[in-house]
Amino acid sequence: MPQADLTISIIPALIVLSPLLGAGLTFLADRYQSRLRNATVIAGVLIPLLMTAYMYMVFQHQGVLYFKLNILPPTGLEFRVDSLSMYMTLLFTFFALVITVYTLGYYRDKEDGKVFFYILLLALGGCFGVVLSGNMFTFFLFFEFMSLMFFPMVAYKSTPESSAAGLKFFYMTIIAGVAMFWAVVVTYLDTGSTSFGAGGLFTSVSPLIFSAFICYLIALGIKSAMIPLHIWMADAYAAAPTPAATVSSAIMLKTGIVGIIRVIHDLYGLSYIQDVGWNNILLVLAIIGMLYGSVCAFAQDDLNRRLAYSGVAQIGYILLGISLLNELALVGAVYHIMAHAFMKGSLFLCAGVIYVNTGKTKISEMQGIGLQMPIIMLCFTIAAVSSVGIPPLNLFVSKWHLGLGAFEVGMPWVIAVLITSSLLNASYYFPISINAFLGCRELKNIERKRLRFQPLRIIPVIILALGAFIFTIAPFNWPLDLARNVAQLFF
Amino acid sequence: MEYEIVHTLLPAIIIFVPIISGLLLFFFANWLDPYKEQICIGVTGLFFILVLTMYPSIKSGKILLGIFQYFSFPLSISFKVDQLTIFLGIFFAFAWFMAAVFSPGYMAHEHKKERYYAFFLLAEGGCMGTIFAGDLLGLFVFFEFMALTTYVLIAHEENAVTMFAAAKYLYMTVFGGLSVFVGLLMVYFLTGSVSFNRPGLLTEPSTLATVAFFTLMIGFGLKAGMFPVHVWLPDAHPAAPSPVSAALSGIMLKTGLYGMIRVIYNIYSPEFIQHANWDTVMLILAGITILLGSAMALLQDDLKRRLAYSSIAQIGYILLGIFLLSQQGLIGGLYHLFTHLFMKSLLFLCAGAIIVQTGIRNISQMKGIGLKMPLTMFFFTIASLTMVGIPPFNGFISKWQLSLASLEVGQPIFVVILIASSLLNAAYYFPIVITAFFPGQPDAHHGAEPESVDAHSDHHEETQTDNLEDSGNKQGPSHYRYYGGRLAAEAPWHMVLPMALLAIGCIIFALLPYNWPWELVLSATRSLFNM
Repeated sequence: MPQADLTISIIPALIVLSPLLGAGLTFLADRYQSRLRNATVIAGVLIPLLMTAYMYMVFQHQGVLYFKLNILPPTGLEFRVDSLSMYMTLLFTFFALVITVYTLGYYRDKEDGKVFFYILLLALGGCFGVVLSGNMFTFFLFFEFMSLMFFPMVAYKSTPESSAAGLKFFYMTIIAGVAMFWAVVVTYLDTGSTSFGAGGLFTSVSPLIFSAFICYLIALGIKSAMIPLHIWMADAYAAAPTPAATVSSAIMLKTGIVGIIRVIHDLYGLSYIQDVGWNNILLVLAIIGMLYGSVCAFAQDDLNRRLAYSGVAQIGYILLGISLLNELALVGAVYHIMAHAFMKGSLFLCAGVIYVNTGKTKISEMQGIGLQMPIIMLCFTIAAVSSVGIPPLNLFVSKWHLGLGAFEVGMPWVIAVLITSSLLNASYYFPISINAFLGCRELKNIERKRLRFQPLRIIPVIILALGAFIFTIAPFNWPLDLARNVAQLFF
Repeated sequence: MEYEIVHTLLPAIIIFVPIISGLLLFFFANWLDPYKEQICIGVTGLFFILVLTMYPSIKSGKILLGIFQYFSFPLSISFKVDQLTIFLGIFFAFAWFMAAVFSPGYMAHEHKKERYYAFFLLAEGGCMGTIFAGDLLGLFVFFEFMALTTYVLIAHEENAVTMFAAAKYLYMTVFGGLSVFVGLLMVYFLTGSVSFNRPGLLTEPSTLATVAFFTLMIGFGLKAGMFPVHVWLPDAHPAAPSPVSAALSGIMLKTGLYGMIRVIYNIYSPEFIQHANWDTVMLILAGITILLGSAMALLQDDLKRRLAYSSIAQIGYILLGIFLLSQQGLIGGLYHLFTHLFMKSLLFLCAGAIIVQTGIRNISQMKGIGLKMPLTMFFFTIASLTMVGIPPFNGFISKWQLSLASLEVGQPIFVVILIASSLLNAAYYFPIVITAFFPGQPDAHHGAEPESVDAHSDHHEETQTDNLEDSGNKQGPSHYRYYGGRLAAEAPWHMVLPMALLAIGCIIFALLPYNWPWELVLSATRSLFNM
């Protein structure tokens, strides 16, 4: 990549730094000025959002932003903002703010959630770093940091289940780290660089390079819950506090996805992958994931577990879009990243509100819950309908593009898988909504009483539920434009 | 004939009248609660008038087209009112209005009325949006919206039977929607557009075109109640509250047929379909639908279930008319669509009136009901006569036309099917009417025959069975005149009025020198064939 058309800007580094600083300040505030605690937490995620908005304006005018710190030889700490990073940063900083506000409502008792906020902010800093990184080495660094920060979040409740789930995740993270290490080393040895933006570094085909590709898939697949590496996910989500599950689902899974896009398009290059056909590995896994995740979701009675398995299926859609190696399909995949974040984010937040308000986690106990929490369950319903891909909700747009992409590469049978999975989506989400509102005439009055309105818990849910359709009924679809830019970058 | 295209957002704005009032009613239920009936009736009435106001310009050969840029998933959608749309729009809006007027009486003792009225308006908006849409994507959007909002209406009573029927409806509908989605996707992939065109968008035969056609037919056929995807219909229609059954059967089934017509004439073209021989497949399905619906109707004892199966048969007639792919056939089909809309809405409203006033759902218990509710049963009789196709009534005109069309394309077998089905129609409707007015002598060994249910009690199944058990000791010499010792009165005027208007609609047009619906059907057919 010629360095001439890059704009040097320090903003990406600041975006990564501010939640980290926010964590430190929150710690100090907790110790000395506990009145300021909430302010520092909010500032830690609000400032990145504002800076991202500013960065977006700069990016619109001046193109790719770049920043390099000459530490950590041999490659240095590089930040680079192209349209993919821009898109993901906008998404991540927005969700970071929403989820953090929600967490303030979730842990109303300050002592309870004290440490959680430090970890949350640190993990968010890691997430921002992953998507803003300019080479695989930097990516690796932040990726590991973020993954390790998720372990205390999973184990936060300190119950036997959460410790077990946390450890399971921890060991898998270690495997991911080792695999990634191997892959990055091979990349650097073979090509002498790990930078993004060159449109392909590898030139020769060898078993070593194939092993690097597999290692990348393992490392990133563990994080993004790709079949068969999803096994940490259901346990972790069921055991973790809901904000942790939401952060993982809406933000962290997506870092794995971004990594896979980077590996395919920036490290190996489109034509290279097309020649060797390694994308078919991903395609097969994606299709298995779409069906397996949906079928497993059926069998779960724990709401968080059901959402987790549904996540496996949704990740399958995204991987499908990436592995078809086609512009329209990639538009679908990148749009689906956003659509899934809004959809799954609001479902998880709803699950969290149900848990903190009533203590229920089992779907079978949730009969008539919509009478107690109508707004929450209405948002849940919107998200559930969105997941089926009914227009004008978000997932319709992503499925539309995925379908067109599949036609274009001559694989119309993929549509059948897509449809089957959508139908399964409907059949495991709709009963929850239905039972929440209907068929509960026999309930006692005490179970019908409407709960108090809790703004911190409800407003984030409403925002995410609105996000499920607000872009598609707007005069122009902003995320879709961004997603098209991303796809144009690579095709 | 050339049509002038007028660009206006009027159709788009009209659609959002019921949708926005429905949303307001839903979200501000606490404030609007005292006025919910008035709002619902007022908005549906207003909507009917708004649709009528578009009629003069359509009549003078204009087509109203509004490209609606405010939706951007991935294409913008458009609204278009042409001759076919206005024909359906006027009668759909009228039937919705009638169902709304009937609702307060039927719902008087039901729970959650505010939810019912809100979703009633939303479903109306979705239904009307389906026919006002100017492209397949818009049609699909409103089609799904209607399908999902209708779910809440069907499940309204929230007992186990209803919930099961509604769930069956929901999942089959979602499947149908996804099927339409696939077809839509393929059409877009093949042609790069989904707007309604004449001649059709698709001209090249290909495997994808074939698959797209049949996925679209499955999706729309599911909504219309076509054999083999009709299975949700006989459960859902009886389970819903009667005004909703009337809307479901009278109106919403037709949106599926409308989708089919658009696919045939505006996405593909009749010649294309004839050439590919797809019409044979669909005609066979139509024939099976007619016979199966009629035969199954004969076996039902639950009145609403019988009506539901009868709807399947009638939908078969319309399918037959559509898939003959000739002008004559389409005229017959569309006219029968109009006929069926009036009579089936009327029949379901009558069934609703009977349920509310007496609590009776089963035909075997309806002996002598015509003496208690003379007006209701009189309207019921009119609708039955229309259904069988006795000359002065509308049903005669459509069957005549359908028979002519079948002969014209050299398919006399369909005339036989039509006649057989008409006989079956007579066989399952006339006994109801006859025993209603001429109950005869009470059967000695059928002690529990006249069921006693309090007129204004909760009309759930449990109540019925409870009453069945203790009705044995309430026998009097003239027990068939009294239900449990009290006279079952005629329905109140606000329930009789919509039934009366629909009954008039069943006969008046055939008796007038100027058959207005006929003219509408003719101009709709002309616009599909000549434009």
